[in-house]
Amino acid sequence: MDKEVWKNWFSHTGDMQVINVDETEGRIKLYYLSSMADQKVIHERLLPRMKRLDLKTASISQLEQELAIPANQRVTKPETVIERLLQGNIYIHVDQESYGLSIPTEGKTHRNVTAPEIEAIVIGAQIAFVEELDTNLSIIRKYLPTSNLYCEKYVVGVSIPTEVAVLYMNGIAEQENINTMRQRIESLQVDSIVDASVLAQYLSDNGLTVFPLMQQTERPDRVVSGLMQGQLAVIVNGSPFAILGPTSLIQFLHSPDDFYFRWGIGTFVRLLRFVAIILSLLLTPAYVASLTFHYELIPADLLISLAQSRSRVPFPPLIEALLLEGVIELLREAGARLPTKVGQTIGIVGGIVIGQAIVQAGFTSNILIIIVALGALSSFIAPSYMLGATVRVIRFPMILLSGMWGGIGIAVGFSFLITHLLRQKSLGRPYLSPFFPLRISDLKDSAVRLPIKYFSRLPVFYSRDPKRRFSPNEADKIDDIDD
Amino acid sequence: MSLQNRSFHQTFRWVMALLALTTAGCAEKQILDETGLVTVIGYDQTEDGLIRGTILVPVINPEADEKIQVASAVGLTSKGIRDKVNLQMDKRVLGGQLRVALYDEKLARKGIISIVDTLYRDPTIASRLYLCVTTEETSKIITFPYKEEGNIGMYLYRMIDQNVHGEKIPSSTIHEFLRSYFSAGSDPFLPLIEPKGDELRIKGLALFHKDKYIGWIDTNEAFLIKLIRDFFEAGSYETSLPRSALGLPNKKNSARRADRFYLVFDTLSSQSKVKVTRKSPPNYEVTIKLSARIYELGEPISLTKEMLAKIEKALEADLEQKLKNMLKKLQKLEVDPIGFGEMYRASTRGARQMKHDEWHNLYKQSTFQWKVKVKLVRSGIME
Amino acid sequence: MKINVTPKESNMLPTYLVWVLICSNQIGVGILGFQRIIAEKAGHDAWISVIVAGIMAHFTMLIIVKTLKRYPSADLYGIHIDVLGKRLGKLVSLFFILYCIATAMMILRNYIEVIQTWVFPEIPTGLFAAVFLFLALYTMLGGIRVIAGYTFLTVIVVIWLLLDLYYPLQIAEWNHLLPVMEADISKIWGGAMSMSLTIIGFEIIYVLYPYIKEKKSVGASAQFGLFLTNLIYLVLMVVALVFFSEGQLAKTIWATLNLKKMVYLPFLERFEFVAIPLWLFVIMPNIMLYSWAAVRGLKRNFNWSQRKFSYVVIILMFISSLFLITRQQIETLNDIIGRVGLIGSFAYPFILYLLVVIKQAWRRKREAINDESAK
Repeated sequence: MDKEVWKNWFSHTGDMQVINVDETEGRIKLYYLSSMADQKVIHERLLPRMKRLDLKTASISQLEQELAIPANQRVTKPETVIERLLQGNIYIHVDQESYGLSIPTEGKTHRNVTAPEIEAIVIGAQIAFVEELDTNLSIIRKYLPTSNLYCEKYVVGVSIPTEVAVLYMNGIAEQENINTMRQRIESLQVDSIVDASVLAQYLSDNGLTVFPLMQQTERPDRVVSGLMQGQLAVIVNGSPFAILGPTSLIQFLHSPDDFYFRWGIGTFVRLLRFVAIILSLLLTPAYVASLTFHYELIPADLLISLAQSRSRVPFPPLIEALLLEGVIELLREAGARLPTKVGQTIGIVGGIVIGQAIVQAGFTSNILIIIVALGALSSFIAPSYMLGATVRVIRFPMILLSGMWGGIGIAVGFSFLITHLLRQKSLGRPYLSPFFPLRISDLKDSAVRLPIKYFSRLPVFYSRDPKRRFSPNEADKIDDIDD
Repeated sequence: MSLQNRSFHQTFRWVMALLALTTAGCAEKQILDETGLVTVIGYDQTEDGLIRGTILVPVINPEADEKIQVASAVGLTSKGIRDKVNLQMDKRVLGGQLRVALYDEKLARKGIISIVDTLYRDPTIASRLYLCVTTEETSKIITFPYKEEGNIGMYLYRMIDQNVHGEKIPSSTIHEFLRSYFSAGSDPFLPLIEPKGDELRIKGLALFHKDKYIGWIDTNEAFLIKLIRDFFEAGSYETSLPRSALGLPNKKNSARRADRFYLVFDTLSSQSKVKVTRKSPPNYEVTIKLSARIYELGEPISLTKEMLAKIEKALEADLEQKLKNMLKKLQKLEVDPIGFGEMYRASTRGARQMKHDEWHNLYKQSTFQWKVKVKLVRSGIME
Repeated sequence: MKINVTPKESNMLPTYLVWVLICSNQIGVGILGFQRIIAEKAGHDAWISVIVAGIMAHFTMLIIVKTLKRYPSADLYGIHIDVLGKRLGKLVSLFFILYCIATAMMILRNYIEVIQTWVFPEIPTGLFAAVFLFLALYTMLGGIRVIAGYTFLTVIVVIWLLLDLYYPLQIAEWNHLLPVMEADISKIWGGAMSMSLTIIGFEIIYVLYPYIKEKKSVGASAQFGLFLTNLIYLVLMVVALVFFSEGQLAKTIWATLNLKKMVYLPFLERFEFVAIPLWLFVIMPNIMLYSWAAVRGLKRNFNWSQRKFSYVVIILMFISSLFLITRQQIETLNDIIGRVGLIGSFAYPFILYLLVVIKQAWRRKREAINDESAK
């Protein structure tokens, strides 16, 4: 054992605890980090058993037998010892022995499994991932008790290793996708990753785009349904979010409860979201464009009330819109940063007081307030917070374009957006699927959600060879009227 | 220069280029509240042969006492007038919201095509702009302080729009005016507006020969034009039938003629078919099929099957007579608002090259056979 | 240079895109105002001219596909080399490349002209040319699949614009169409000839062909695309004829846009100001596909990377757009391309087909002789 490394570390680690098991001689020692290891294990399990042995002479193999420690817990190198200790293990050291033993204990800082907060839904499982990889894995395994659920573990990070697990269903997930994912994770050369979101960015096909190319979710049921359709899931230790890929843009508008409701309701909600996202991008720019350049577009009755509400505003529509959009973003950001209770108050203060005052002060027209609020609301409707944030950001260039060239500017913006989205890929799969390339069979689960009986085949998007899941004939069998 | 510096310079250059693009690349703005949006424009003939243009701009400021702003200027061309008007306004005058253009009778008699054409040429002007002829000077009509409706432009627009949709008068947008003008076989027409007390009303249809105002017909006759021209619907119509035809005794009534029976019917659907049965001189066979319901009766009578049949017969005779009279009038005025020339062209090979005056020579000699079929389908909820 | 092109499987296009691409490449700015030009020649029988031109296009497409099917996976540039030899083949290909660039230019400039006339009279041509060409470049750098995707998605977005014909039809005068066949054959033929500028675009199949997955059904798909275009042209022609009187149509430069002026919704009037920006989605595929075809030609003939040629072509187009300022210049360009398109799209495919047949027959004969002499 390299004493220097050990000693140096020992003296710089204040929460290191040492117990001399044999009291007087100090031949057998237990090391652990009080911040990491579960001390109950020592007092309730280890010490009583160890005391059954003759501690003065007991060898390490005797201890191993008595404590029933598997062979892979033998450690020899000091680096490994440090690593294990940092993971919350208890290390048993016996003088003059060639190896020591490390005993894993459950880490201390565990958060209880709670209901999802970011992706809350009304109907469906009320369980969310936590920061512990093994807990998350166990949740998923409970959903999918099958030997076909494959789990590959990797360690990512050169200086700070972080445990990462890649999950997929054997026989459903496309081998090409698995290889791509493996290769990307293995070739990752980073110092450390703090959160799954960071890993998701590293794994993305394009690091420059503002669009999320990997789904992140705290909902196990979303992960499970993704796995069952052929997606790959990546769980990062320390992050309560799982990464799902490959993914297409439209999936960011999907919520698990689209399937928990009847198909008509699911379709309605999805169309609502689809339209809302487009409106969110279009409303304020359309206001700016029509008031700055194309006043002819507005019917006369609407025009007069529009003009009246703007009669005291000293700014051009572009500045007016940017100002108000800025205020909304301020409120949102402040609301997200502040503690929940204060956040609500700020929301009310900002929404009502500032809104009212801004109109009365003649800074903006009240019609714009309606439009901006509608646009903001529409961006929040996206079940994925990531996509909502993206939409809110790309609104600003849209508004600028509309202020510069009116309707042409909006068309230019959308044109750029279409090309940009067409060029994106998620794990090498087209991001705009199933619209382009057109996959008619996948349209059943896109902007609409068709009845369950059409879901007898897996989506083409994830795998080239979609397997039949259950016979549609069974589902189609219906009795004739009055039989 | 250090490497870092250079990259900074490059970024700086890009940012400057972008800024230049955003500032220089902006299109010319016409911000809503900085523009005077003309809703109505009137053209008058002045004594010295010039044109006086009057515009009306709604005042947007809700605190202003005056709801409208009016300006007028005299010039030779409509664009020249607009430039002069601009000198009197605090906001740039733009025509994108123009709803109604008025032409004074005197001007209309001289021909209005050059003014109409300039409006049509301007891409900001709507194709659905209504044109009207007024009996008084348009400057008077526009500047008159109307009590009920501050913005007379919108009022006029709604008045015409409502009556066009209510099938009282045929539609006469700028597009339709020019369509008739540019076709050899038909003449344009416009609503004729007259001030009446504190209000305006549609007096009838002003009829044009080419672009020159010739004369007018009242709204009842306008209905007949609609009956021939337009398919499907025609609106309601008030008429009187001879009592003798219905087998009713004469009745003394101070306001009405003793030998007439008054009623209003509402067409549910109408179909007209015009056949050219002879080419030179043209002879037309016009068949009109009307299905109508009785809207109002001048006095209560029981509508038995026989009575309904009698009314139908009498109505047919009445309409045929009126159509005949109207056509005579139109032929005398040398106007063809119905577009019989167009029908002639459509049914005659080689008539494509026919000029406008050539057609009018034929029109004078044209003869018409009228066949009206009336079917009363309903008579209200009471028997 | 190889005669046949065999792109990677992942860069190939499914066959259903053929009709989308053909249809979209045909419909550009010409559709905004072709009615006047045809009606000038054929009067109210202009719609017959449209049908005649359509049938001609169908027939030409038949020949084009027949030509292409004589090779396993060749494009026009490869065929030129095969039939005309290296030097002459390159020369003729260069003409085609220039034609593609000029057509893309013409479409771009005409669209900017529409914007300048209807919306922003004072905006400089170069600015919008730069913006639109940047969009085209960005798409072209994504490859043919991205171009095809753009085309497909924008077709879905824009096809609904046809529904607004309901409004002008409300005041239609169907009498205008009578009597049928009043114009004589030569006039109708003249009208059909004038359709050339509007109807060209299907020749893009010459360059697209190697990129299509199932080569068997290319013909059917392309014919369907043509049919759809012709149907749209026919509908627009008829609606324009019944909506305008003949004298009026003769004065209306952009009849299709004037049709849109009639649309009014409770929250929206003056639909042409919506349609003009939306038209960007109609013309961009044209610019992209034509520039792409030119870039492909350059790459095939003058061994350089497609990426670099994309930049070159786009910059070239930008510079030349600065020299087209007045309406007269644009009209001249339109006229030249109309004529060249007439020859290039309608006559040349027949000549090429003949050459290919002769060449292949000659080659077979020579091989037979060689075989014999070898024996």
